[in-house]
Amino acid sequence: MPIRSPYIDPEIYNRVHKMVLRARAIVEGTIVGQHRSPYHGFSVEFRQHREYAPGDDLRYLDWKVFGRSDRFFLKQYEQETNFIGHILVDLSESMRYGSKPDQTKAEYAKLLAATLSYLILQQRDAVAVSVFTDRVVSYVPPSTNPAHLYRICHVFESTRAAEKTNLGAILGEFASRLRRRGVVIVISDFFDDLDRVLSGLQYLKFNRHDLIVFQILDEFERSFPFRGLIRFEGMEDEGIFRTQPQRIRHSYQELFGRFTEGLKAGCERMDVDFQQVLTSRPVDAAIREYLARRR
Amino acid sequence: MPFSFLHTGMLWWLAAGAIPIIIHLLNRRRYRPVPWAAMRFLREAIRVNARRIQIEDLILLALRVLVLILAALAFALPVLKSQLLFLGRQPHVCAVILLDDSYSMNYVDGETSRFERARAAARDVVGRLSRGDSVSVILMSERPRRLFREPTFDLDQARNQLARLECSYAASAAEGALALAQEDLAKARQPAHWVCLISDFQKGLLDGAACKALLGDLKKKADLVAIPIGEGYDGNLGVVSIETDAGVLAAGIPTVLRARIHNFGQTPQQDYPVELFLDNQRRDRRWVTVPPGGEVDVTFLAEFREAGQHAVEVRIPADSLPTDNARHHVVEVRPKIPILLISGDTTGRGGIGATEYAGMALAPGWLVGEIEEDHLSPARVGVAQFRPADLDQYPAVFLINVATLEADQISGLERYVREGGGLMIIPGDRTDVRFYNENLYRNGEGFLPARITPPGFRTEEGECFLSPDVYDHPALSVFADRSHGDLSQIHFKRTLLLEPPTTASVICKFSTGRPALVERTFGKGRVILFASGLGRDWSDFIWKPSFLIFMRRVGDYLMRRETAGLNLGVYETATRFIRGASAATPMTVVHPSGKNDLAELESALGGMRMQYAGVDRPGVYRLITEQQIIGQFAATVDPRESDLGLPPMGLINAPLRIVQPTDAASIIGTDSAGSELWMMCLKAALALMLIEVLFLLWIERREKRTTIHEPV
Repeated sequence: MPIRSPYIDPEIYNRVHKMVLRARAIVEGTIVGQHRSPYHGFSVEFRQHREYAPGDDLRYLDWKVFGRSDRFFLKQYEQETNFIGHILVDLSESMRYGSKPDQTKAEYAKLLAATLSYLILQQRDAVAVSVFTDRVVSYVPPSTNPAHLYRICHVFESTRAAEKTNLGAILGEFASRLRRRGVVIVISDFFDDLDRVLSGLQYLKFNRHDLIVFQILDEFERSFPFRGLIRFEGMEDEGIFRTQPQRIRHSYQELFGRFTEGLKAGCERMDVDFQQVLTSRPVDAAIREYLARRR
Repeated sequence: MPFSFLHTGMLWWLAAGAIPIIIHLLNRRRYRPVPWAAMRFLREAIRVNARRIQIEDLILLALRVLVLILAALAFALPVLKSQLLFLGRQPHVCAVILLDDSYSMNYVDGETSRFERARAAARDVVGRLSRGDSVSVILMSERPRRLFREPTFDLDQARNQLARLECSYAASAAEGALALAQEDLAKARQPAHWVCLISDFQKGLLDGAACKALLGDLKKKADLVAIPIGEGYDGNLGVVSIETDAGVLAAGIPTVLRARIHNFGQTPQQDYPVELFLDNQRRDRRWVTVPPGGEVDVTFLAEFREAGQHAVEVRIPADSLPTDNARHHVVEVRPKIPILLISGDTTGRGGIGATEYAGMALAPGWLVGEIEEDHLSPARVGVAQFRPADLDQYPAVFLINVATLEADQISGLERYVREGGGLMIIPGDRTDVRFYNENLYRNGEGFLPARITPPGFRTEEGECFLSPDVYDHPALSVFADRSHGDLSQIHFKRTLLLEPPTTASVICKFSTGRPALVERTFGKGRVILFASGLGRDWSDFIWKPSFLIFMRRVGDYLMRRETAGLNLGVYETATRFIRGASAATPMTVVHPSGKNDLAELESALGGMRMQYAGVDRPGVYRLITEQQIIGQFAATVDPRESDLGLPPMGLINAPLRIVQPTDAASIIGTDSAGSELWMMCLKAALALMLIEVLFLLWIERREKRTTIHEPV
């Protein structure tokens, strides 16, 4: 009997079924898979030559090189393995915002995370999911079992967006936890201090993870289309501001644009994939767009 | 205060200036709540723009408040009282012209009369007014009146009516006209008020506390301008009065007519002819010399052969002021003059008592029935037989030694005196002093001229004489000539002590200084109380020749009632009771100008009462019914108006700006009452509204600039 979950959308899964999320960096897996492993051996795929040292297996001597240079070199081959995809989902208060009641950033982030989990699992890689605010709220350990997706969805269903965010600190904490290199996908609106956010990403990148950043935004946050007399109530206890939004729209958009551009530029500097996604955009389309660009 | 407002009530709308502030405060409660995630950008955007938004909001608020305040100010019609005329438009003017039409303005100095020049000056002033201005013309005299019921905006009509205006025969007076001007200004809606007095400004015209107060008040509200008319003055002579010695004349009895001629000029008038006309026939001419500023009495002896009303006219040669060169007077001439003697006497020794002595003094042949030669016809009636209804037949009544009166008799006598009758009260032995004090004196409310000291008669020690030096009263003036009798030779044995109130006057005293004769005016009539009796026990007065003269003079004096209604001032309403007339018979009044007017008639007991309100010029008016003259009356002008003085003496110390008649057309606008600012306020409000709209558009246009970053 199939399990029903709002985050399991067969249509979306059908559309992403044939997509592949390849680890661009070297990942550390336990089984033979599609992805390059840092554990060098004598597999089918040549990687590099290394000068012979006493004790080396003579089977891997490259005799052609010896014939041309009269020196002993060993051929080294890359071993293909599977990877663990760590999906970090921000469910802080700010993610609760949605210009449409049924389309909050949090829900979109959960759907995106579930879809990516499906994508990873169906290519026999392992996926682990962490939900965080200013702390880790829940954690689903890695698994390659396709049924693992239901466990992930269950966690999403039982977790509501709450509390403040502290991205810099929480990303640093993840960096210290995830010692084994893999693919780390961070899904958040990143509404925090830009330097702290980039610092947290830097920690993750320092562990040589293949880091992918999905910034989830609502269209209203970008266009700020409000008019009239509005009392903006901060969702993370940031106070109340009364204003006529049309009179500050230009400044807001400039500040907002400057932030997202800064985030993007920071990610590029760290060789981190950055993808800004509007909640109005279908999840599969967003993934397809990203994967097309990643290729 | 440099500002004033014509509609101060509209200033309440200034409170509307608070509306934008109230809306602003109310709007604070109308903010729509929106939960928001990207607060850091919003907070920063607000912080960056807060000052600009605050300034913009303040500017918008100020603009809106100013628009409303300026609109309210515009509706309140502000006027700036300064010379900064460039700030506003020339204000509309409410011009009030006070045109002196007293008869002194008929004085002709030069080719035209003063009134003609005043009229021309008034027309010049009206011609200077422009559309939207109003003018009110008030004719300034003791009979002030408006030329138009309300201030008119039809300036052409005003000029036309001014051109047709004629001078009146009223005396000059400013108080009433100034009060009317004050009323007109109070109703005026124009911001500029302008009051122009056009007059010859006779001496004393603007004197008096009331006039000064009115002028002071007008000065606060309006520009006060005086245009004095009258360049020269070569004097003026006028007939200022005509008097007869007796109020009622008897036919065939010569009477003295006294005309007074006044020289109002600065040079003596010598051998000046004065002519007497009786019933339009010249009867006499005298030549007089009148000193400068002085007057002389010209005495004519006249005799009217027929009973009836006769017209007397005294005329002097024409001069620059023709109105006062003739004066008219109408006298009543009767065949016999009845006098009622109400007696409380029982007949004395030989059948003669105090009443008989009085009657014989009035008509010596009366007691023996030989009164054909006498013009007075006494009628004796005992107090018990006295009927008040008979009183109207008698021009004078004597109450002699009456003890008491019935209530209807008292009220009848009171009405008789109040309506103009003459009454002399001569006490006697029978007089009940307490009754007199309580019923006739009534603490000064009754017609008895003085309180008689109770408990009754009081006989003084020694003998009293009438004081010999008090002959200034008309009834006694004849005794100034001792040949007519010497009052100081009369011996009084008994007298009454009289205590006259301040409303009465002592016309003759005893030698002791106590009142002998006390007179009181009561209503239109007069009452004389004698402080002694006529019997032998009282004095030897009745044996003296002066007694006859005294009684006849007092009788003549009391009889002035009969002349009431015969001689009026101009503009008084003439009334006359016509015995036996009926409403079916129309009565015509022949005006001195020759025109005939119908008199108003109303029913009265025993006849009709005639009223005629068309007395508008001096002269003799004749009453005609069924082609017969049944009476006449004369109208005269106030002689004080003849004293022109050197113009413009009345302007001394008056708070008026003096402008010569030749400059009359240029006075409006040279000293405006202020600048009308309502248009400027309205324009400013509109300009501010436009600025607000442009400012809002500018803000909106700037707000439409968007910098949306596409998803990356």
